[in-house]
Amino acid sequence: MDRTNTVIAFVCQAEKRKKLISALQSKYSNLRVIPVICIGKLNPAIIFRLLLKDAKAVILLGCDPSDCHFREGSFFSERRFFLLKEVLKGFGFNDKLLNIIWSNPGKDTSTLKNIASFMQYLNESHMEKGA
Amino acid sequence: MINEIRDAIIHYLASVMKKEDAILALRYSNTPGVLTPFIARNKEDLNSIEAGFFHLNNLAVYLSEFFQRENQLSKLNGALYIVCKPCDAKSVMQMISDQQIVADKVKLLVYACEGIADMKKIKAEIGLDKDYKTIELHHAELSLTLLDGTPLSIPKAKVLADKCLECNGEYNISLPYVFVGDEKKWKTNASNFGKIEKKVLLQDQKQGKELFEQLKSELSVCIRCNACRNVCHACFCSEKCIFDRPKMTVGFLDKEIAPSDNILYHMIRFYHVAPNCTACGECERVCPQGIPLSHLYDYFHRLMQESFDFSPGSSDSIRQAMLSYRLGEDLA
Amino acid sequence: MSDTQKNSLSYLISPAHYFGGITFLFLLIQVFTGVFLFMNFIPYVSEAYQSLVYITNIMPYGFFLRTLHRYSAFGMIIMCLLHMLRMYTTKRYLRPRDVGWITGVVLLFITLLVTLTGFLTSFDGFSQVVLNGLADFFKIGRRDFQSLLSINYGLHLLFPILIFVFLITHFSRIARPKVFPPSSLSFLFIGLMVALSGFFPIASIANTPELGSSNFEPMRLFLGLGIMTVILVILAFLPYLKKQKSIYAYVDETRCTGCMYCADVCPKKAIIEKQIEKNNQSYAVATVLKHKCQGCGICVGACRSSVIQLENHKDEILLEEVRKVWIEQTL
Repeated sequence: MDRTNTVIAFVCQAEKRKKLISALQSKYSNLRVIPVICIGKLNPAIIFRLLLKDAKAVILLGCDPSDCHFREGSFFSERRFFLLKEVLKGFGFNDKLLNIIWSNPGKDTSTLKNIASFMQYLNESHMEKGA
Repeated sequence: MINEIRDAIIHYLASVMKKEDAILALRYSNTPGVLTPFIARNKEDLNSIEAGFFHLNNLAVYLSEFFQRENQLSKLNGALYIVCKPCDAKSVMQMISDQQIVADKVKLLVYACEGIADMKKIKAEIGLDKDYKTIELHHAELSLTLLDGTPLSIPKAKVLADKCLECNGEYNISLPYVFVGDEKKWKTNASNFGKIEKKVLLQDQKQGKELFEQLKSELSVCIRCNACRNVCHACFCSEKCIFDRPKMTVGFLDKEIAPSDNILYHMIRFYHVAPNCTACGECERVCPQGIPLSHLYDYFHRLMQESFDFSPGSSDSIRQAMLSYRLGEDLA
Repeated sequence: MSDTQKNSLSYLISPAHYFGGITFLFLLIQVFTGVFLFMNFIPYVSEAYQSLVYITNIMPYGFFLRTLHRYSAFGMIIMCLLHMLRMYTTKRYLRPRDVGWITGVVLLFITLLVTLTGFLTSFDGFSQVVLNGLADFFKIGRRDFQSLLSINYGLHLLFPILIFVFLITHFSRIARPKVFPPSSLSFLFIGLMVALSGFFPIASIANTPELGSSNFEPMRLFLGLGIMTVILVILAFLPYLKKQKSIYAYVDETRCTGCMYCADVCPKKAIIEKQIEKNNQSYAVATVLKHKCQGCGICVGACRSSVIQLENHKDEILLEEVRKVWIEQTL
C-alpha cells in the first residue's frame, strides 16, 4: 500500500467522537484519523500539501457551526475552507477530493453515511491527482 | 501632459517639504525607460522625481520595509511622502488595515495617472532581438530610437498595461491625501477608460483537468526565485514567511523544484494573499519567467467581491474578509 | 469592529445557545412592566392595598401588566436554570469560563431574591400572611410594619440595578456575546407570555388584609434562604473542584509580524498587541492573555506564518503525525 492510497481525516472534539473514530478505523484500513482540538486550528497550508503530494483525499470533520464548543471555530473555518476549495477550483484541481463535513458529535450515523459514500466514490472513480 | 504632472508634483512637494521630511518616489536610472525608486531628502533631490507612463513600480511595498526594519528612515522625525498612482494608494490602505504601516507618519500624494506601460508589449512591438536607446512618450505616441538609430513610433494604446485598460477610476482613500491634477476630471476620464465590461478570466474559459494541465505547464517554468513574493505588498511576512522556516519547509515544500511543488507554492501563496490582493499587477511584472500571475489572481479578486462583498484596499480600518463571518451566509 | 452579525431567520443557531438571551429578554419585559406598575403602586401600608386594587381593576391593562410581570418572573427563573443546566452539561463552566459561571450564579441568587421581594410587594393574600408573620418575628406592630414594607420595596428596586451591574461582567468575558436572541425566538417567547397572561390571569387580589392570626413561621423562610445560599455557594465553586490541565496558545515574538489576525478571530479576545524593543526600535507583536485563553487554536488557523501555536500541539507535531502514517505504511 503506498501513501497515495491513504485518506486522512481531521476530526475535531475527538473525545466526544470515540465511537465514530473506532468505527471508522475498523472499517477502512486506508483511513487515518488525526484528532485536533477544534477544526479552526487547522492551517490550510497543511491541507494543500496533503492533497497535492501525499494523501489520496482529505476529510475535514468539524462541529456544526450552531454548536461549536469554542463558539466561533466553525464560523471562521467555513470561510477558510470555502476559500480553500475556491483556490483548488481556480487551479483546476479536483476539489471533490476534499470532503468537508459539518456534523455534531451526537450525529454519528449521518456522518458515517457521508464518509461511506465518499470512500465509495474514491474507490470507484480511480481518480488521478488533479483530475 | 506627463511633464505637466511631473512638474506639478515637484512644485507641490517643494512647497510643503520640511527639513526632516523624506519623499519616496521614482527617478531615471541608467536603463532607458526604467525608473528606479529613491528617497529624496532635500529640495535638490526633488528635481529628479519622475512620474507618468513609466511609473511602473508600486511603491507601497517599500513602506513596510521602513516600518519593520531598522534603517535611517525608521528613525524619521518628519513625514514620509509617497508618490503614487491611485491604484497604488489602494495598496497603502490595505497595508494600514493589516497593521503593517503606521498611518500618521505616511502622507499620500496621488496624481492623475494616464496609464502605464507594459514593457513586455513594447518588447513585442519592436521585436525580441532589438533594443532601444531612448524612449519617450509624446501625448498618445511612444517614440523610440533603436540601437541602430532607427526611430520608431508606437501608439500608446497598444502598449498600455492590461490593468489600465480595466481601470474604472474607483478608489476610496480614507486617509488625508493630496491629489495632484484635476481629481474630478480624472475620475470621469478613467471611468470611460476601460472598455472591457466584464473581464473574461482563464478560469471562465477552462475548468477541471484542462485548466490544471495548463497551469501545471505554465508554472513548471517557475524557478522559485520568490520575486513575486518579495514585491507583493500583501506578502508582509517577509523573512518570517512559512516557506523560509527550515522545519516548515520540510513540512510544506521540498527543496526540489518540481512542477507539483511549484503548484503547491503558488496555491498556498494565493490562499494567503487572496484577501489582501489589490490587483496591482506587480507580481506579473517582476516574474523573470513571464508567468501571468496577475491574470490568475483576478479570479480571487472577483471571488472576494462576490462572496464576501469585500474589496481589498477600499478601507484602512475594515479588516480583511477572512477575519469575520456573518450568521446565515450561504457559502456554496 | 469586524463584520456585522445579522440575526437572520434563515439560519438559527440551536435555541440552546440563546437560553441566556431569552433570560435577558424576560428581564427586559420585567423592567418594562415593572416601570408601569411602579408608577401606580404606593408602598405605604395604608394605601398599598388601594393602589393594588386600582392597578388590577381600574387602570387600563393593569391586570394584564401584573399577570405578565408575574409570569415573566417565573419564565426568567426557568430560563436561567435551563441556561445554567446547559452550561453545566456542555462543560462550559471550566476555566477560563469560570468568571462567567460565578457571575451567573450570583445573578441567579439575585434573581431569586428579587422574585421573593417582588412577591412580598404584591400584597395579595399569601404575601400578606407572610408579612404578618415577619412582623411578628421582628416584633413590629401589626398595623405598622411600614419599615418592613419600605425595606422590601427598596430592595425590589435595587436588585435589578445589581443585576445589570453583574450582567456587564457576565457579558464581558465573551468576545461576541449573543445578548439578544434572533427576532423569531424573541417574538415567539413574547407572544407566548402575552397569550398566557391573556388567557390565564392570576387570581384576583384578596380582600382587606387580615390583621388577625397568621400561622406562618418566618423560620421556614430563613431556612429556605439559607439552604438556597449554601447550594449556590457550592455551585459557584464547581469550576475549581477538578484539577484541570490548561492549554494555552503562545506567540513566537521573533517571528510575529504584528498583523493581529489572531486577535480578530479569538472568541475570548485573549490576544492583545504589545510593543517590544529590539535594536533600539519598537515593534508591535501579538501576545496571549493566559487567563482568558481557552486553548481552542482558532488563532493558529488564522496565522499566515504559523507563529502562534498551541502549547501541546504545534503545527510541526501535526506534520510529524502525518509523516508517521507514511512511515508506518512503507514498513
